[in-house]
Amino acid sequence: MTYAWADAILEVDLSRGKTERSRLGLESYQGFIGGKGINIKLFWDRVPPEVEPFSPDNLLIFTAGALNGTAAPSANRTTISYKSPLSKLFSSSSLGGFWAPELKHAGYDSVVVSGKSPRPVYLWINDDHVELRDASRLWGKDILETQRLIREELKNERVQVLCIGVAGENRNTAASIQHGIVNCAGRSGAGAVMGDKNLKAVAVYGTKDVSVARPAELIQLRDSVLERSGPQRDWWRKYHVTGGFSQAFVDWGVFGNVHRMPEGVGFENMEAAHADFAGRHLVREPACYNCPFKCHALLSVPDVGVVGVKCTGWWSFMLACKIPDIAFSLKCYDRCVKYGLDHLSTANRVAFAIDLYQNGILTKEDTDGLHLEYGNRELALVLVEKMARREGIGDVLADGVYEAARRIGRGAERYTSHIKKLEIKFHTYYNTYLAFTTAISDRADTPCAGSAQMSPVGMRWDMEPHQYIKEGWWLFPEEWERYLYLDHAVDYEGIAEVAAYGEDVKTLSDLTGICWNAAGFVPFVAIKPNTHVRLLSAATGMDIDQAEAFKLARKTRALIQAYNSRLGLRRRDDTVPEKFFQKEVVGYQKEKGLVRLDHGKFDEQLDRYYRLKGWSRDAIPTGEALDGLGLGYVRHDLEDRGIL
Amino acid sequence: MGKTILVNADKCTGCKMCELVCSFHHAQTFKPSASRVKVKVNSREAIFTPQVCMNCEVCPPIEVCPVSAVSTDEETGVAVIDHAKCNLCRECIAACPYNAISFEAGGNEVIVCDRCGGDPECVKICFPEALVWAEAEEPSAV
Repeated sequence: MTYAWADAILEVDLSRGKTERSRLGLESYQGFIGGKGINIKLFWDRVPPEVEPFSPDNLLIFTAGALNGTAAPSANRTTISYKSPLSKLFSSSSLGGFWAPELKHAGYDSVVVSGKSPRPVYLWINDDHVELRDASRLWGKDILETQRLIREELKNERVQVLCIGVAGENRNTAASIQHGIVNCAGRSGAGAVMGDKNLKAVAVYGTKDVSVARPAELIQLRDSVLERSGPQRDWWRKYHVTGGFSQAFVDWGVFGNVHRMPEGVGFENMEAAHADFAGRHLVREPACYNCPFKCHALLSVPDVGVVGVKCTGWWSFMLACKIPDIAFSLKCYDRCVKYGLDHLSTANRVAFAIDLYQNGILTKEDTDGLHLEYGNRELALVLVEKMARREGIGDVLADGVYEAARRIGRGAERYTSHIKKLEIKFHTYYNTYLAFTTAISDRADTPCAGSAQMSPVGMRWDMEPHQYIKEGWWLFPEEWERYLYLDHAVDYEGIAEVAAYGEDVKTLSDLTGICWNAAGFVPFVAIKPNTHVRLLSAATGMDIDQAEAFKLARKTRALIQAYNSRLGLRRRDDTVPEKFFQKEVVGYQKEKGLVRLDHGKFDEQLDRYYRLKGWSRDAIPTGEALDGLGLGYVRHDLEDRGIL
Repeated sequence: MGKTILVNADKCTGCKMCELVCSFHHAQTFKPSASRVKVKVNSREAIFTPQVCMNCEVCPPIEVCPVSAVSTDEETGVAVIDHAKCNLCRECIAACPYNAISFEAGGNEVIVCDRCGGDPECVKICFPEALVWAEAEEPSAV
């Protein structure tokens, strides 16, 4: 008997309109746990590297974490993997909410979608009843309307839906897969792959139970986690309501996408503006499934309606368009959500286009007669719509800044801000540590692969570092305490070690389905690694310790790296845009001034990081390391291809 | 009247922890479909409503049950299903104004909150205090 896992995969062949159930076996689950691990395992076994993102042979895999559906707090993440049409690498996006636990209750760990449907369809999973249903009347509908119509059609308001919007239908490489009003698998074009397959949505409702190996122990662990959850709840409250976070971002100057925070535009009083806006418009702070935190805000925005937002959604378009107005930013953000677009990449693309126009690289002939300028509210909305629908200039931008620059030519690539072709987001500017973790992230875009715990000053924890450590909030080994006091704008010491450890912590989350926020990203982590592993053991009966769990995390990471090595991913790709080395754009304490990254020191940390991972200097997992992780078959494959 | 579950929907975050603990208490496994409390979610309008037996003074399910399988507990006032009598017609489910009665397919039975014998699990887990265990002052209103 398998505990926690259903040991069932739902195989969906859209080309033939067939669905069937298959099993992966306990050994695979014990080696790859769930979520991203199971996804890369399936991908390695089934998808040759030469398969194009928009090919029927590309898979779109939705997998629950091992702990989803159990009492483990905050275990609700769905990991979606595919070959990305943006980065052209194996990529994963994940989202919280309610979908993956529902999938577990329907009796599956994964849904593996292959092929391409000849007409728009959606998948309906109700326990053992599975069917592909006509989605022609849903095609062209926004993501909220789509979810409403599906629940109405199925006559079940408890159905959980993942779906794409117009952007996904049009294969925009920033297209997201959305769920509810706020949950979003946003980055690297998952929605475009789904749209290419003519799959509008996956709806699920389950009535089965999820059994665990040692329920009493799991409940006890849950209670101990919940006892520690207070400070993070307070922290989120502050984040949404008082505007402290908005101001902190301004103080750090990390507002930015194409650019660092633009000077002289009026962002100076963001704290008051944020608090005022939240005071007037905050309706509710909702939570995802089985989570004690409330990391989202539902705001009633004038002329828009209820907008669900967290983190960067507050600000992305303010910065991209240089308009210091939260209502404007949220209006653009809401438009992105409804079209099923990643607002980060989309805002970046808007700013990129304006930059090109302002520098004479684009003219009205290229822009359908539009005059592209900063400070223009209507323009942002027009560009978002054009991108979602792939109209005119929007068609060029819909492929991302990297491809757009190649298509436009005339030196446009100098104005791009991307890492491995995926547009960067704010935190990359924050300090050297987060720039580094962005560069090495397997998804090629996210500084969150590291930990915001390494950025103590700006986070406004209301707690002195020594007190923070004393109270047991510090995520990392105690002997690394000194790293907490370093200024990571200028100091490189420990970056590689902390990044590698932080990545193990985050990868473990990607396997178990416990949200990063609960287990490793924000300041007051309720589920530290040792507790995380005990939750996993109690639920699955695996009985592993932290070292063994981290080894499994590294196994998943190494397999992803090996897969992408076959696609040409090398050290040269593990970097940030060149301007980070050329200009003073990094740092979070204004009074100390900004720094530029140091090529030599950055490279030195990269060497250390690869050594810690067991990879070569060119970012390829070594044969020895692969053998040690039980990935001998991967070693043989890389050797056969002449990569090792 | 003694203590009862009071619902403050404005405080609900929609996390559904109550469903998970309720199912574990009653079915010893994690199975929200076996939960006696259910959270109705309308995220588009930001409305989350925990639905559970509100011990109404007049209980419509009692009126509609063709086999008189529904009654109210003398002490707590909550609806009680007599499974020996119940014919699974589910009229009570449709009649309850709070959607507090449901059909659990796995156990093939109609289920309703029993207040966990006076120490409700859902209340204990509810951080936002959308569910509280308190003296019932007045019969509940919608």
